[in-house]
Amino acid sequence: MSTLDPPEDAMSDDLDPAVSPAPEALTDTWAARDVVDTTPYDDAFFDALADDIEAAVDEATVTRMPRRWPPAVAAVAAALLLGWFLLPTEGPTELASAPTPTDETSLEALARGIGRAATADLFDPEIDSTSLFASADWTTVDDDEVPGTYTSLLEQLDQLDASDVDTLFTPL
Amino acid sequence: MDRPFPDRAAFSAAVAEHQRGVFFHALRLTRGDEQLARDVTQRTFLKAWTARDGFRGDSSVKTWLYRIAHNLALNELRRAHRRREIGQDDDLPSASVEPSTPADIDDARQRAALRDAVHALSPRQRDVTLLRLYGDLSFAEIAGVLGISANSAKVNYHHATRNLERRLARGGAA
Repeated sequence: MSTLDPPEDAMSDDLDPAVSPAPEALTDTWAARDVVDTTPYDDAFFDALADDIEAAVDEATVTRMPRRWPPAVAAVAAALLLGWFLLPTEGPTELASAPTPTDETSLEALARGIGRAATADLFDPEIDSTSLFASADWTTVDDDEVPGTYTSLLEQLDQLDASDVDTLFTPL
Repeated sequence: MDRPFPDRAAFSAAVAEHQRGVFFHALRLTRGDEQLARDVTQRTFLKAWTARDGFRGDSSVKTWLYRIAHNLALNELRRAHRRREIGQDDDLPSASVEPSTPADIDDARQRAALRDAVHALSPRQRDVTLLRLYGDLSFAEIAGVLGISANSAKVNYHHATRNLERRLARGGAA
């Protein structure tokens, strides 16, 4: 590069605004020649490129969507939640033969008592847990072979009326 | 300011209208690297779509798209330059079409000489020349793409063409 050449790396403000461009015929020649060969790129190429662009935008749009449960999943979840709330309240009301509030209270208290006793026995180190679980089908075994805890449970159950027992063991 | 693409249909229309210009500008900047130019074009429109709310409207959609593409392509060039510096990559490819006839060979030779001369310009003069000669952008549009004044774009272009004339005359390809 001679010292007469225009400064190529200077900032634009340093360039001489009075410089005239190369002849238009020359720049037209350069424009027609192009620095890259554009002829291989036909409509099919750009159709495919447009498809790729649209696909990329589709993917980005899906990715950016706020995470929401699909309506069907939300409906199922709502139904399950509703059922969960209704089961404890509707079950005994429908299944019991019109129990009075007092009956319901006493039955509930009895059931809780049985549950507490059974749970406590399960964790009682003095009770042989192996025998407990080995006799899981305790309704069919000989009373002599049933551990004391179950004997106690059976006795309590025997004290209930038939309707009360049905209420306790009817599936909700 | 209205969005540049009120909906997907408007976006698709913009893709159809500008993808050629954006792709070829990226192709020229990357000296004929088709894969890179294609990638830049795709990312340009993806970025335009995802950033459409940030479009300020102080330029046309065309200028905005060219500006995104230009910056993405320059970033890729810098990345490629760094890869070359640490020996991970070869030089950027030249124009990939193999000439077959004598006329094609001559044409390819002149094209290569012109490409080398353009890319030997300063980055600013190279950018202005590519956008003016091949992108057919006005000086105001070039100013919008490069973030300079229209007058600066014009002056740089004049200097660039003079430099090109000299370089090509020296090489016998003007």
